[in-house]
Amino acid sequence: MARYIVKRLLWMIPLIICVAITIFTLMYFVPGDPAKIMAGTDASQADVELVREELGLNDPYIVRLGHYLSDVFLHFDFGKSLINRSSIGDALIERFPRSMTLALSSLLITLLVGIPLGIIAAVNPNTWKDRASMFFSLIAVSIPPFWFALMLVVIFALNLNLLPSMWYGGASGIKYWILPVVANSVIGVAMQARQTRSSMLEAMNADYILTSRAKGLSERGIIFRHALPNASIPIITESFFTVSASIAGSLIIENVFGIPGIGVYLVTALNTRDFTVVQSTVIFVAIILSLLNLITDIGYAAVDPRIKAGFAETGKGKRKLKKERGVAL
Amino acid sequence: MQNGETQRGELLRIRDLVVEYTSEGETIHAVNGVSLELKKGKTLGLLGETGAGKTTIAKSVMRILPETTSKINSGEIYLNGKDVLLLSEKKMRAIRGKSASMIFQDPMTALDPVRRVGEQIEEVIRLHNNTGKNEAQQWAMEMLETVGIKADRAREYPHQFSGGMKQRVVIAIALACKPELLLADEPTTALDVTIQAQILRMIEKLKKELDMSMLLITHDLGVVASQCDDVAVIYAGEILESGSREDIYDHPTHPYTRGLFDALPDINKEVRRLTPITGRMIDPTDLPKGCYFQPRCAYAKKSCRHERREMAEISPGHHCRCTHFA
Repeated sequence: MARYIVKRLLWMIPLIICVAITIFTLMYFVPGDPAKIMAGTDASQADVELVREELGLNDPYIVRLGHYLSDVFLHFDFGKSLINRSSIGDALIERFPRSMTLALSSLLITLLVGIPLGIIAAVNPNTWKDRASMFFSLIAVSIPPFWFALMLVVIFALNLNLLPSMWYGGASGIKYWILPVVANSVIGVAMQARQTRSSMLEAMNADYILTSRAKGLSERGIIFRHALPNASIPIITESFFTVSASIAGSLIIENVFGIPGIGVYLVTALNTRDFTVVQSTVIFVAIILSLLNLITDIGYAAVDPRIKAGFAETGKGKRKLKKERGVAL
Repeated sequence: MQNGETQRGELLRIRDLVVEYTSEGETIHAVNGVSLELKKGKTLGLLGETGAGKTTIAKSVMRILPETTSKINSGEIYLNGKDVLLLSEKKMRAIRGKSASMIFQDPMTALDPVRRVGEQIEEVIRLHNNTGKNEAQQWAMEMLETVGIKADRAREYPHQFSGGMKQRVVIAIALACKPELLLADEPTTALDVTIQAQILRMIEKLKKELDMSMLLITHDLGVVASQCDDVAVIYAGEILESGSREDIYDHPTHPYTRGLFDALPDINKEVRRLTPITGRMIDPTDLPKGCYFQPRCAYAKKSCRHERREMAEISPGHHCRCTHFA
C-alpha cells in the first residue's frame, strides 16, 4: 500500500508539469498585454516597453516557459501578481484554508444528510419515505445555488437577524460559516442521497444480504454491517466531487458571502487579466485535486479488500503474494 | 393430528403452503398447496426442475422471502411444533441461523465481499450465543477447521477463496450454531463435479455428527439417491409424488417421475438418444384447471384436463397424485 501511494505521488509530478505547460501556453495565447496592465492605462509606450523588458515578455515562448517552470518547480515560487505585486504563494496559503473549510464542512453536511436520506429511500423502496426523500433531492438539485444563498441571506440575516449576511475583515467564528456551508451543500446533499439510494438498492438485492438475513441478523445490522460498506464506493466518489467542486468552483458562494477564497481569487484574476495569478492558481488547484484523487483511491481500498489487493499486486508484491498462497489461488 | 401439531419424531411439518409472487402486475403461483414432513435426523430430498418452487419453500420456512414482491397466502409451517408463520419477526430472528440454517445455491455471491470470512462466521456465533469476541473468534476458526479449511485463513476475504472453499465457508456459517434443521438449496449446483462429491460427503458427515435434519433441494437425481431418506417430487409448485427413496427409485409412479428417470443415461444399456420429457414447464402465471403436468403428459386422458387429483396413498408411505401406473 505504501509503495502504491509513493508511486502515485511520483506520478503527480509529470501530471502537474503537463498542467503547468498547458495553462502557460493557453495564457500565452490569450489576448491582452500584461505589460500594459501593469504599467496602467495612462502609461506611455516607452513605459510599457520598459515593463515588458523587465518581466522578460520579449523573450521567446520557450524561454519564458522554461523560466516559469523552473520558478514554480525548482524554486517553489509561484511568482507575483501583475496587478499589485503581492506574492501569489502567500495569497494562496492565506486563502486556501477558507476554501478548504467550506469544502470539508459541505462534505460533512452532504454525508450527514445525504447518506441517511439515501438509505431511508433505499430500504423502503416505492413507499412515501422513498418518494419524499427523492422529491426533496429533486428540488435540492434543481435550486440554483446563488438564488438559494440569497434566499438564506434574506431569511436568516435580514429578516430574522440570526446570522451575519457576509464576511468582512476580521470575520471569524462558526456563525460566519453556517449560511455559506448550507448554501454550498444543497446540491451535494441531493446528489449524495440519489447516489446512496441507487447503490444501496443494488447492495440490498445482493445474495450476501440474504445470507445475513438467514443468519438471524436484524435489518439494522444488515444495512450497516453489510449493505452500506458494499455500497460505499459510489458514495466515496460522490464525496470527491463535493470537495473538488467546492475547492475549484465555489466562486458563486464565495462571491455571495464575500469569502476571500481560491474561487474568488481565480475569477478576479481572470477578469483583470492577471496572468501570473491565473497560471499559478490553476497549478495549485491541480495539485490539490490530484491529492484528493489519491485520497479517494485510498478510500476505495479501505472499503473494498479486492481493490486493496489490486493495489498491492504490482511488481514485487505480486510475486510475493503468489508465493505465499501457493497453488491455493 | 393431520392438521395440528408436529407428530412425535417430526421436526418440520409444512401444511398446504401457498406462496405467490407479484411481478409487473402479474401473479406468479410459485407454491400451490405443498405439504411435507421431515423426521428428526433424516434427509428429505425436494426434487424438481428450475422454477418448480423448491427454493421458495425453503425461504418460506426461514421467512426470508422478499417482502414487497412475495406473499405467503395460506398454510402452516411447524418447526418443532411451533408455526413459524405466526412468530414475530424478533422471535423469527432468534430461529434463523440458530435452529434453522440455510445453505445457498451460489457460493460465489453468498459471502459479503468486504468482510473477512472469519468475521462472517463470528457474526452468526455472536448473534445467537453469549460469547465474547475472542471466544467467538476461536469458535469461528474451529468451524473453518471443521469444514476443512485451515484456521489461519479466517483473516482472508472471500475473493481469496475458490468456489468450493466459499461453499465450505457458507456451510461453516450455517452450521456454526448447530442447527436442528438445515435447508440446503442446491448446495452443489454451482460447483464442478469433483468438488460436488467432496461437499456432499462433508455435509453428510456433519449432519450425522450434529444430528441434524436436512431438507435437500436439488434437481440432481444422483444427489438424491446418495443423500436422501425420503423424496418429494415437486412440479409447478405442487408435490406430485412422495415416499421413501426406495419407493421413488424402485417404483416411480407419477408419469413425471418416470419421465425424469427415462431422461437419465443408463450405464448398462447402449442407448443412442435419451428420452426427454417433451414440452416445457407450464407458465406459473397461468395454471391449467386440471393436472399441472397434463400438457406434457403422454398418458393424459380427457379427464386430466379438468379434474384436480388429490394425493393418494398407493403403498404405505408412498403417495402419488396420479394413479395411472399405480
